[in-house]
Amino acid sequence: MTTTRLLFRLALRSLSRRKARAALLVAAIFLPLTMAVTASVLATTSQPTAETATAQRLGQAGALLVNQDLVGSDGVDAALRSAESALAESLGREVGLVPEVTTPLPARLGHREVASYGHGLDLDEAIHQGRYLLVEGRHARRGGEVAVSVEVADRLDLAVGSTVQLGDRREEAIVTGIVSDAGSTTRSFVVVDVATAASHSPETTRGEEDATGSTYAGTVAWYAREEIVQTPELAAAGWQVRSRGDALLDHGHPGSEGAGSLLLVIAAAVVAEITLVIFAVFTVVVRSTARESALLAAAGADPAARRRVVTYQGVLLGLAATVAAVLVGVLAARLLSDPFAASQGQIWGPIRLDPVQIGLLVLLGLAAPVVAARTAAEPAARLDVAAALRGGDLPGSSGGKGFRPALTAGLVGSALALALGGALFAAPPLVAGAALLLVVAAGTGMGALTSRVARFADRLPLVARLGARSAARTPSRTTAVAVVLVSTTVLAGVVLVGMGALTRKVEDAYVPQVPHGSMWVTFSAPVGDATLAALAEAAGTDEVIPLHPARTPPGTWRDHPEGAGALLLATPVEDCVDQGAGDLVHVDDCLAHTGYPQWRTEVVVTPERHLPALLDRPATEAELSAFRRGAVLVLDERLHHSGTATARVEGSESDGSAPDTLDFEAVHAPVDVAHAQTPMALLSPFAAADRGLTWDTDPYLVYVPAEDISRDTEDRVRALLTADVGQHYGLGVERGPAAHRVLATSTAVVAGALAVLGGTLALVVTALSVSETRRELATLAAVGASGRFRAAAVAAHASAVTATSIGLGLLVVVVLAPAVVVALEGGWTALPWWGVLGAALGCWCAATLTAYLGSRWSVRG
Amino acid sequence: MLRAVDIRKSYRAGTVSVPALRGVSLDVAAGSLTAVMGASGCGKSTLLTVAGGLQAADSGTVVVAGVDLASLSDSASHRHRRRHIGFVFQDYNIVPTLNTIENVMLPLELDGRKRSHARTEAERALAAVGIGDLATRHPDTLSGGQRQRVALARAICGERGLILADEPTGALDSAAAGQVLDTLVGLVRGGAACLVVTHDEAVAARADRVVRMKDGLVVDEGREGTSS
Repeated sequence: MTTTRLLFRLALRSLSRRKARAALLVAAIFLPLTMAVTASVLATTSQPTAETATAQRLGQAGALLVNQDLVGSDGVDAALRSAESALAESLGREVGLVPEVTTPLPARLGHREVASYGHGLDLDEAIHQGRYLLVEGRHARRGGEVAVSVEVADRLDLAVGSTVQLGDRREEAIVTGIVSDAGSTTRSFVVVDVATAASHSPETTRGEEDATGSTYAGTVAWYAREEIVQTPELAAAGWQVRSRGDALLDHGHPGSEGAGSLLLVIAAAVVAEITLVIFAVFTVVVRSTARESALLAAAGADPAARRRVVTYQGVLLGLAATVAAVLVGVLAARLLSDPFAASQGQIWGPIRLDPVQIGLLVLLGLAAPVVAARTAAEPAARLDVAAALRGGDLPGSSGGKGFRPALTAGLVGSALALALGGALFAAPPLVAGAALLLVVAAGTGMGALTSRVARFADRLPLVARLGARSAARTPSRTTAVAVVLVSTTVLAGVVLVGMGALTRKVEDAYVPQVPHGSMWVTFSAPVGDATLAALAEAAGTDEVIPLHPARTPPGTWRDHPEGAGALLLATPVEDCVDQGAGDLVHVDDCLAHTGYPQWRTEVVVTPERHLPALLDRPATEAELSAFRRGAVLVLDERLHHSGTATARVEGSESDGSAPDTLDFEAVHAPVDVAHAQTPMALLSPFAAADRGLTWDTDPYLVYVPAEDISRDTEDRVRALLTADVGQHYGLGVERGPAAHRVLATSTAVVAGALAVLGGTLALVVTALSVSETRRELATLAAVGASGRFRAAAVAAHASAVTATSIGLGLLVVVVLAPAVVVALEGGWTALPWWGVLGAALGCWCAATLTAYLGSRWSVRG
Repeated sequence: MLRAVDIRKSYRAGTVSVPALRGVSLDVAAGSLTAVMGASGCGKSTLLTVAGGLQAADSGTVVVAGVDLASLSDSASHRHRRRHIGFVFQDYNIVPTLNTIENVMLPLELDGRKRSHARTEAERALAAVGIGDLATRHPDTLSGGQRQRVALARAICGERGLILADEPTGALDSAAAGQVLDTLVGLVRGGAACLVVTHDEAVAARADRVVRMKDGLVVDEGREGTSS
């Protein structure tokens, strides 16, 4: 005990004697640990508890009941009146129900309209507590009042007291409050009283799509105060019951969606980095305190005692850093929680700590420095006391002359095998193992690499020579720094490339509806030229393109919404679905597999002047010539065979016509990107008339080409169309998959965080390493080197080590990237590489600049 | 070559000011070897670093090669040191990342001279101290005496006129110390001015003049030896 106390005291004195170095060491542990704690708390907070998630859906209800049969047969109003008795009949007892009617209910102000849903319920009922948050004002309590969501208020510039028009009847309502979902702020909805919502519900029910698939009928949900479970009797009567108990169970296993998964990935990466950092730092420290260890040995301390002095330093540093990291990490999470949630349109509530995660981080913060210090202390135990007293260097790691190259080669070989296995078996853990081995290989091979860099530097100016030679002369320190930087670079690279691969996977499966930024509108009611002209004006464009499918008379499309009488070309997607019917191949799978954007392709009649907009380029002379002589222009060569496209004409039940086929000359008009909404087969009106075909004068689809239609413009077009055709339209603007925007943001965040982390770690370890070269700096001063030159020499040293390490890390990322992409079944995308290069460059600049500025300050004396 | 007049220098130890030099005056002429002796802590090494411009005096004047060091800017001070002053330390202070000739070339390269010119001058300096054949050897492979002669070569390279040596023989055995001393005296005979801080009576015996210091003051200034 006395010895332990003595050794602890020696460790404490060693730390307090070099306060700046101790502070750097604490910082090296504190920084990543704080980030990990913050990430952990944010991840935990972003996942609602089972109770919260249940309350967001069910409020305080014991059960949620839906009976679309009841609504379908009786209508919404009647269903509202009969629901309690119908339920009592099936349940055998009376239960009080509180209804909520949900229906499409667009909100309009002036010339702008938001496609919102209306929820008809009494939010002052205690049973709804926990479902919505009242941001401002009060809830709507009667007809003529409405509470709008934050999104609707933002898009229409509404405030409490504003007047807004609801539905296609344009009923005016006073905004009494601003509300949001309890867990989200981005949904467009309004809350009105039950009667108002019911009055806006469409007659069609059962939740079926209307003719265009663009709008849905109203639904009614009933909330019961007492818990009800599903029974066969209830099911037979059309009741679907979700009890509170089931909801709690379902929400007891939160998924990994949302902000939490990304934060956890970052936290895991940061945590993995800690051990390497601490080991690297202690390796430098032990080498710089060799003389102290030798003095202890001379005073009678055995190797175990010398080892323990270093290990106890790890204990003390770990304790200080961990306590500070937990406190600061939790505080940072508390400050960041609301902005993070807001940036994702979510509401997280008060911060929550996962005791297991925090406990593991605390354990890591305490144990990692001890293990790292204990491992790094080995040279102190094995030192040549006499040599160390004379100022000699500590012994290096064991192994003969050929040991390190052989070890490096073995590690690289094993890593490549693991990476290959990971790619072949789509197993990311194997790729992660390969990354780890390559990082270790980088450490073992670093000495040889810096020697080569130093030889290369012989041709460079003096300052660069000194920097490169310093790096090569201290292989242990250089390796310690290198392992930190290589692993940081590899982590950054693999995480970003992985994110890019997954994003590309999503993007590849995504079928754009129309060219990016453009708008499409589908109609289920006749529209006149005046509406189209107004649509063009509202959209701020000169050109709207009405599209008319060619048909065989006398079939009409309104009688047969699925296309009876239409001319359909066989698509690769249809072939794919037909071939895989036995295996239940989904249309989406076939869309992704074939790369063809539509399931069904109609031959569309369009005048020649619209060809440039539909092809997104001028038509060639050959294409124009073919179009004018009556050929079909097909935008995908798989739509024709040897210059002929065969259209099938589906039979019509109304006129008793039989299925038939019609052959056209077909010419391939290639396009860069094909779209789901714009036509893939184009026929001129003259050619259609010549073949005895007809087409509807009312367009079923209008394409509005544009660079970037804003949400504001979209809202204006909605307002116009609702005024002209009511709800008989569907509208969309192509803004691309959200995955790319998420990737761009995530890449910037991860790259920034890793650049800061890498730069800081590089600064800490480099500062420690450079502090050991003070004697050389003094010599340079004695022979007349200016302070600027000495600082430049230090910066060159840091720069050489950082550049070599980061370069090696990037090489490892390049080697691993194919395996990462294949293992995740993703694709290539450029953005993560810019992120990796940005992070690498930022890290290198930070290390070099801070080394220069730091040494300018320190060599001033 | 070196004229120091009424040099005063103090260090701060916490709140206490500890005087290291309390008005030291000294002249070292070209072609002469002056030895400074005294007990540890008497201010010998401080005198050397102040004379070389490595640290500034609190008051007094230091003139090297006709230039008052206090009148020089920071960069001019470095340039003046590179061109006129060479240091030799007890523990050699050879830059470990450079080989023998690169160490000797260092001041000239720092001064912006062409590498080829610096190499020629360094070869001449190495030859002058008798280790011309060790030019490409790494300092780690040299003996103590050889390393100190590398330091001497670096100190004279570029025909600098003032050599400031701090215990140049302190870490050497008597044979090596004798060789280094012979070299140093040879350089002085060649025209260099040399100020040596030493405890070694053998060095003092070969000096043109021996200055004894005590508590930051020169207490005795006489001719004890001859640098023949």
